[in-house]
Amino acid sequence: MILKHATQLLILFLMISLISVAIISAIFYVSEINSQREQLSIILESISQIGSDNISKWLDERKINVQNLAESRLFITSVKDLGNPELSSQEIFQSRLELERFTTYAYNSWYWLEGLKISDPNNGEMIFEFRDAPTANLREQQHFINALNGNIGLGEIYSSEEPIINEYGEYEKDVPTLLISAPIYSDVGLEGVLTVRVNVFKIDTGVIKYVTDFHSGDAFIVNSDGLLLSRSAFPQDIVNIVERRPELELRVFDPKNQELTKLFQSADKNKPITIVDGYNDYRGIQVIGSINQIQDTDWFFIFEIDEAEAYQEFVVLQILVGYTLSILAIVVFGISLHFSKTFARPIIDLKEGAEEISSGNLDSPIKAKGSYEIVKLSESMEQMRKTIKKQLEELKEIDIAKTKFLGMISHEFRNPLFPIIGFSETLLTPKLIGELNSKQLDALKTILRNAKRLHSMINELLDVQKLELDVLEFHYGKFKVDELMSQICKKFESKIIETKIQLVNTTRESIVIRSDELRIKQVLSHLIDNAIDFVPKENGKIEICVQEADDFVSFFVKDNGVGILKEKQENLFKKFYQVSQGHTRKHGGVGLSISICKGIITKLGGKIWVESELGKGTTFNFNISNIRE
Amino acid sequence: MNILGIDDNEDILKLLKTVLTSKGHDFTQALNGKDGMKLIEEQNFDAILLDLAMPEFSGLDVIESLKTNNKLKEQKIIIFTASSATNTEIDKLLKYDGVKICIRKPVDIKILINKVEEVAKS
Repeated sequence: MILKHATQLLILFLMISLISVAIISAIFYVSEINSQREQLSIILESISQIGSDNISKWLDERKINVQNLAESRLFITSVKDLGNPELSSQEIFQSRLELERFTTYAYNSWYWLEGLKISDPNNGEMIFEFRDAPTANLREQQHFINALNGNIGLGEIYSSEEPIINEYGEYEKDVPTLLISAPIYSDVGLEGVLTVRVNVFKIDTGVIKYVTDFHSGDAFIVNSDGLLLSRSAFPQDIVNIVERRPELELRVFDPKNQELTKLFQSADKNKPITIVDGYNDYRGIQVIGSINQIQDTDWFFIFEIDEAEAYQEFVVLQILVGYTLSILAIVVFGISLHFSKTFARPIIDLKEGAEEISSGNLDSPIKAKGSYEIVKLSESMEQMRKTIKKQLEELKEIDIAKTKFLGMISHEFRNPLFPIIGFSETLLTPKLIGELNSKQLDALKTILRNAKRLHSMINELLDVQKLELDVLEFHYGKFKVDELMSQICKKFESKIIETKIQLVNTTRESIVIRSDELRIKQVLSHLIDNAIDFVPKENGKIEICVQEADDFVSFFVKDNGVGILKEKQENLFKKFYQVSQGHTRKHGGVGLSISICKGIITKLGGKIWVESELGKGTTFNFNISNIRE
Repeated sequence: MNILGIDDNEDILKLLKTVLTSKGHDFTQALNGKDGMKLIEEQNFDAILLDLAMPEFSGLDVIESLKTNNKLKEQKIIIFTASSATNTEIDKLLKYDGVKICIRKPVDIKILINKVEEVAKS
């Protein structure tokens, strides 16, 4: 159990370390992201500020250009001449030519100039027209009216219906077009309104597209409806959008996208709105971006970067953190595994090895792998196991040798006993080989008694040996227990006739059982012999009886002897048990007879036990299972 | 009755002689199996007390030898032994026609006399 805790503690500690590192990484990561977002915000803001300022400036420059044109001497003179009815057609033609030449010069100098028109201020009719001039009558348009009032007017950007020739010499349709009008004043008065046609796409180059070093995304101008006014960096995507959703026209913001539209519409003048969380642009790519209104116009400058590029560093950071945590997790796992292998597992193995030994199994080798100490401990335990096993085997061998020795000895003792007993009996038998006087007869009786005692001790030894080697033989047969009891009584009659001991057979029942008659007689003889030794010489009483009880036949031998101490009772059935030991031994014998009784009864499938109290006598009980035949 | 005793223990033979002759029987003795065999071939006996455990030529060898010579069934052998031969081993020997009973040493001499006379008379 301690081990379990050690492992758990270690893993807990490592997990806490891992989690701490993860938390710290997360905090670091989040603060990094936040600072990065701030930075990006600032960058986007400044870019869109720059962008919209640039566009503003560009528009201002165009206005100035137009103004200059409208205020140039040659221009005014020519325009005046065109409207002078007093001049000849030749002179007018000459003025027109001048104007054309002048205008051509302007056209070649100014890349944004697509065409121009000089309108009659009163009715808006065309006085002079150059290149891709706006064809319609502009009298109603706001920029025209502004010009009439003496100001520069900036018209709305619209998509030109008439194609224009672009810088590649191609006809281009749907080019966003801006009209700028300026009044042409002579010394006389308002001669006409100059309207210049500006190609808004021309704002791109130098103004929009190269504002920053970012590679991805786009910068463009939209009007308040979200319509694209500048060239997209991804013309194919625009085409796709237009094809897919023609209702969008060139809108880069889907008006149905409420959020973006709201954001878009709330963009303050002069204050850019920056979105650093990703949103989908018109291409469907996650971008971050900034919107800024262009001063004095209702146009907006939008600057976008692909989110991937913006948060590039983050990806690196994320990967870094990810790898670190993964490595850390692997390290934690590795350490736990190592710990488990080196300490936990081997200690459990050793514990199990020890348990095997204590449960009696000495045959499985103990082997644990791990640290040096573990291996050494494992080797010691294995050595211990081998030693214990060897010693156990030696003990068993000694036991077997002892048993065999006993057998051999007892056989050798029997042979000499025969002549001793035989001749004693012969001499005691009258008229066999002569007569003896009573003293001699008495002496012989003593010899015989002792020889018989010796004989019975040897028999006990042999029986014990046979029980140990499990070769004691049993012969089963049917017999009547009451008859058996009578026979026993008769056998002991002669023995106790000289003593004052009473042997009483209180058997009442006659039961037929199937068992080994001889062996039961043997058990009873041993118990009665035992009792004889322990009852008082005067008034000694031994009672024997057999009764039926359920499935058993129950025997007992009861004496009124000294009784046996409770503590000594459990040792009674052990081999060589003596009531008293050493020089004070009162009762002889080898101490095997009770043990033999137990062995026999156990082999017959019964139970034997003693009931005794000091001073109150002893009862030996045994039962044999009674299988009704 | 004419009784033969084969045993390597002199005292036992002496006892047997004393006991059996006191009952009026003739007793011949042999100290080893070889001598015993010779006597069996020379004379007819009404019973043979045969000890099993004897050096050189044991009681078992005597029985085997008699069996080989086909003289076993004519005999009336009483196995007389102190060895711890099991009853099963003895039973095997008792199966032979010539082997009548087995008496374990030591035995009550009265019982010995009765059994010997029983076998001799049969």
